[in-house]
Amino acid sequence: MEGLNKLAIGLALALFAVLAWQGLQKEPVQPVAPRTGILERLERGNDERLLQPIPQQLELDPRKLALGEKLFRDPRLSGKGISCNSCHPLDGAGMDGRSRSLNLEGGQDVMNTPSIFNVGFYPYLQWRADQPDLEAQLDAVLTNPRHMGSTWEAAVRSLMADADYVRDFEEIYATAPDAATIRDALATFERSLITPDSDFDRWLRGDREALTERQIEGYRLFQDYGCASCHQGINLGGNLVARYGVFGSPYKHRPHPLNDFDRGVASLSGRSDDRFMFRVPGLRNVAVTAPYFHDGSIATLDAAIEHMGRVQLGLDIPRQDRAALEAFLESLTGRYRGRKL
Amino acid sequence: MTSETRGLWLQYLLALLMVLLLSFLFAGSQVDQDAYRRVDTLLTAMRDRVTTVNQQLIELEAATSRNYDRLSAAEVGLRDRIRHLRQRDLLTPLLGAEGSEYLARLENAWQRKYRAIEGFKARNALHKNLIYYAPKDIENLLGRVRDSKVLDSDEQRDVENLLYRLGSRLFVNHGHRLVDDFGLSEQLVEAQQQLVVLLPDELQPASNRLFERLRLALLVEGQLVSDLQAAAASALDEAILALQHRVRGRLAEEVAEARKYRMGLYLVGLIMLLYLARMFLKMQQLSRNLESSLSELEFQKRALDEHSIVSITDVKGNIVYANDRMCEISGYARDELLGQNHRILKSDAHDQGFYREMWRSLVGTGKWQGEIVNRARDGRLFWVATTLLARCDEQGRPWQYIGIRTDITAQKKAERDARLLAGSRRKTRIRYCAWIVPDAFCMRIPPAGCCSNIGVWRKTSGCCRSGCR
Repeated sequence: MEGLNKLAIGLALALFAVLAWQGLQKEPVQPVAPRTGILERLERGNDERLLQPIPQQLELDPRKLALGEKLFRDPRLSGKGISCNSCHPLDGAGMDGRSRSLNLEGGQDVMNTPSIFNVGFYPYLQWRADQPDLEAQLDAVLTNPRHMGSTWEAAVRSLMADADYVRDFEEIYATAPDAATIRDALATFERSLITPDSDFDRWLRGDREALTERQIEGYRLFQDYGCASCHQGINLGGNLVARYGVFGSPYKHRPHPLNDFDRGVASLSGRSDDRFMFRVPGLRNVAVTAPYFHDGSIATLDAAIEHMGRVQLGLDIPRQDRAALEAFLESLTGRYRGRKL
Repeated sequence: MTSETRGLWLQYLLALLMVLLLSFLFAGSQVDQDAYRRVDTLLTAMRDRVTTVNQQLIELEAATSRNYDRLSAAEVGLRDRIRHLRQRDLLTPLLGAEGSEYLARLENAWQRKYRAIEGFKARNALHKNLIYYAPKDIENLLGRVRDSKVLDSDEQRDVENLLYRLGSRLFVNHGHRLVDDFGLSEQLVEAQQQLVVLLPDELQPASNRLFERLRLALLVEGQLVSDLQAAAASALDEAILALQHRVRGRLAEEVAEARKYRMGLYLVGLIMLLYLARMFLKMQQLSRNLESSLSELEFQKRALDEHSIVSITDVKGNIVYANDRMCEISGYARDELLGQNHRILKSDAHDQGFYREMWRSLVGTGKWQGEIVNRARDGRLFWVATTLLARCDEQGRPWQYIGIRTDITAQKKAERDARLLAGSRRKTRIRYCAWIVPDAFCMRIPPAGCCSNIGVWRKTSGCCRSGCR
């Protein structure tokens, strides 16, 4: 009889244990997290206007932003004395102002450094649209021997040596710094780099005094000349890949010899359809991000407008129209942390 | 191993087997529906995005100028979800190796669609511009022909007619579509050749640019239709749908399988329930039996207490129980007795041999019977007929002794009186002996024939030293 009692209690306990174990095994349901918050918002929004103002604020985790900014300015990530900020200075226009970026050997690299401002609005990055998002872009830049020339292992090791970083990462991510968390902090910070409140944005929001007569005329011309067919959307470009040089070669003026990268997307895909296809650059802050084009071959805005008219539209845009267009493009210069770029 | 312990082990083994069976059945009856729901939601969201992309593409094709951001956002949403599926490896736990096949098919379809969309976006933008500028180019040329000093009015009219005809032929479709049919390309070549003849040299570049633009527009337009078809192709949607069907089918299969296990679980649960019910009834029966035994025992104990003097000691002789009659006869209160050694009742009337004999019997057979004289608290001696029993533990070592006694003092007195009476009728030597223990009858009983040899007895026992003369 005692044995039977023990058996019953044992069975009950065992059943309970099995149930409890099963209960513990079940992991909580994780929602599918949309990562690119800004684009998701655009997707939900119903604004069909050709051009949209940049939002004045983004809801991003302030702790991640502080950490991301620290990382952004930290040369230890490369271990070669340069940080993200070296080529994308935040107190400048988010690019280095050189026709082509410097590489680690001190020579010129192949492409012009694009500005890092408003980079979170792009559906893909780089001149050849080969990086799908900021995280992938970070991987590419950090490990490229010509750019930062580091590895994630080395970067993580150098951060682990700093107790402040380890504490910050513990607080925010509840883990020690690793490639994924560093990427997330940096990418989050980069998404926060927006330049709202340009004259044009204020005009779009209804401030009729924000643009001069000439700038409004420039805006009309911008649409009439068909610039807006490609340079549209929130960043006035950057959301499609287009052929550079519809009417004749775009390289006639080029001082330095052509290389493989000048073939555009074709240099990656090898398809003849992709020849001279480049990502249409966004025109936000264009007046302060000279020189222009992927090869940095044109130094002034006026020359760039003339060049575009000739090779993309097959037109010689008259001088006074160019001046109006330039005035309009100058109204696209926004503010970062209240400072006009 | 005795048969009883073997039975116990068997029961434990059985219990273990039952638990294992239960766990097995339970594990089999579980379906991780969350994992399925997660993937299903993801796939539904992807299909939504495909719909958005296709809708945007068609709108783009029709509109003159349009914001590409929403299309891009839908593309990114789609791309991110496919990547999420790959990175989190959500399909393998559900579909196994088959999952990666479906995923590869999905990614392949997406790659093709993505490339087609990008191609369409680029060419659509280009086409819009080309078409937009073609009428302006014609207008521009017309103006310059009218202003021309070189051409006479007849020549001007010929060129104007040519250009008007060309314009009306080109833009039948509200100006945003050229339709390359009824030999439009040949007509363009013909018109260009006529203009080469008609126009002066200074207007040739403008004319050439017009025809270049038109030919490019026609070329792009030809590709645009196939681009749109490729971009809006249903391969991706079909791949997503196929995967969703497979995932839902797999869930249904798993649920059906789990139902079988659940039936087993119910069955085993029922058996256990019956078993427990049986055990409960048995225990109830047991407790009833115990209760009746207990009351019977209680009754017997009461009877014993009424009749006998009962005490229990531990193995060292310390009293742990004494009944009322024990207290009464010894003259001690119960509190005084409990915890005391039984020696406090010792009367010194028995010799060492007596006790040795008693212990030998007690240890050897577990019981002893005999008559003892004890001393009460007030010094009074009393006789008891005693039965001692040893209570042994599992190893056979005694750990308690119980003593059951009957007061035989009166009987002893009667015996002595009888003996005295008988002795008084005999010779004086016997009278002597009985006489010497006047009130407390000599506690060491003189052996038979003592009184015939009182001197010997006196020497060996030391008793009655004062009394025997």
